[in-house]
Amino acid sequence: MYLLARIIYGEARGEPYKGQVAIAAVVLNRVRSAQFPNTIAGVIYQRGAFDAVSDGQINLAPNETAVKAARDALNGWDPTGGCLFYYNPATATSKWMLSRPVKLRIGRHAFC
Amino acid sequence: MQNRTIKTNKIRSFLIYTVPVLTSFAALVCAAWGRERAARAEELERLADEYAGRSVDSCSRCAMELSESVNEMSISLSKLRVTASAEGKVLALEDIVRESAEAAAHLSRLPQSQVEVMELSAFLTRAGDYARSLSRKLLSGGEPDKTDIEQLGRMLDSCDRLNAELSQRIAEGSMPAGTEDFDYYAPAEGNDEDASEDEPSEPEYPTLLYDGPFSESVEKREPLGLSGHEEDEEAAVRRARMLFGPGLKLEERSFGNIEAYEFSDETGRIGLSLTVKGLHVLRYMRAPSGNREGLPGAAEYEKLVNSARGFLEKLGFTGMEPTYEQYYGGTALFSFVWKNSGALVYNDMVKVWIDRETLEPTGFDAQNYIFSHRERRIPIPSITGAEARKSVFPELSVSACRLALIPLTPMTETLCYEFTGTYSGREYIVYVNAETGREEQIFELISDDNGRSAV
Repeated sequence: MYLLARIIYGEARGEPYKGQVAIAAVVLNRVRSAQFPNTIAGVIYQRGAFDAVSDGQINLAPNETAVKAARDALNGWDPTGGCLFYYNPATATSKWMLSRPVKLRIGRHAFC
Repeated sequence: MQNRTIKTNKIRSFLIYTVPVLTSFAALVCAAWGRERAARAEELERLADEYAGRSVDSCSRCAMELSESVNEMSISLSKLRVTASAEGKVLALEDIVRESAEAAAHLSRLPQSQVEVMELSAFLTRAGDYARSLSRKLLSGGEPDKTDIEQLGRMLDSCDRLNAELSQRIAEGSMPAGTEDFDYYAPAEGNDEDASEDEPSEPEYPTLLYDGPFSESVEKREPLGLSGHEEDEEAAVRRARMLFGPGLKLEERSFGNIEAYEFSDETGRIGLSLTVKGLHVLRYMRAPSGNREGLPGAAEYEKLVNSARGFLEKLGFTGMEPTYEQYYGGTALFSFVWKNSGALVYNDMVKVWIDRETLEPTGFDAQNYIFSHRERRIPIPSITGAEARKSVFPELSVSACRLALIPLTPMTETLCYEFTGTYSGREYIVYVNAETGREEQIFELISDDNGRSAV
């Protein structure tokens, strides 16, 4: 659970609360999907998956909000409705990602 | 004049002695500093080489272990074809469960594009998931049918082919080595985004038809409890404001697994999703007022659970029974399930969060209920509770028994007796099939400062 809180904090600490839960929900959706690693740590530490892992932000101590967001996501709250990917439209460059239909937007992120 | 000359001479002799000394000293310091920097650079380069070497070794290991696991899968699938006994089949299938999980794990550790390996990862995970479901079928006295035999054959073909590909790539040295940059989202080579729309390519791995948590049928399932018609934005806004106050405004339409209207208010601290079809409340979350933690006393519990009940009634839910609860972040979370003909229908679950300070609802989630709920007849148990009790571990000290309809597989529901009991200081829930008397599933009930949950 703390690992989930740390990835939220590393990736989305400035985002609205719903956006923070959404990050954790994407991680859990990947765990449940056959196409991704089947554990939380496996999904988070998969090479290249999360910027917060590559740049070390995942090692910062999460705040209370991130911890609650992780708990809410673990309790099944999924504001993304099953999404497996998200990106920041202002900075994303991947053609593959940008071609995917966007299911919804929360804060800085588009979810697909 | 003379004084000036003496002074100038003194300055000159001072400079003649001290400048060379200072310059030599500075040169020595620079040399020492330069040597130290060079030594440090050498050390850093050595470390970089060492870490790069370790990364390459680690990737080589993952590649080879992946290859070994796939090879083992091939061998187990091959032997399975000629295994006569049910026990032998179950053992071979359990081997495949383990080997495919290992293969999927090794694959996930290789540094490469996720887009390129998604289908392979899915095949490996589903192969194991399917083997597990077939193993259960055999343990219940069933047999592999024609579809199973065909699918096992196609799995073997795929594993043989994959085995050959992996061996070749390892021999050529073309597996990811971890020393190069790669794009996590790079599509598979030769895939043009435009071309994929015109000519759907042959799937590289067989589609496996079975009922398990990772199967394609679960990914594609439609919500069964989404009653009503598609409503327009105006109707959605009216309903949102009627239920949760005039401050809500429509933000956008979302296209997750259930299409919904998304609402927020000015502060951005409230989020509400209403389904487009039927305007059911799908999700609601609002920041709680405090952050009280820890278990409530009995009186506080009653107030909290009654507030949750009241909220459910307001939303039009009837016949809901509270099951487990959790307390964190200033909220109390209750899981309610639909009770019908005396049986708890666990698939039809809603979650209600109540603010510990104000007793107001601060969250709601009906995703499970909307996917699952419809009127259905609860079967009549073929055996009594006392008879079912005989299948429970004899040393479990049973404290409660009730009927429950549980999802033994994602697409089926089975009527069971639910026994709650303790053994050796820990609490367990045991489900016994109400028709056959078989022990079907066991959970451990964890109780701590955060509440209770079944794992």
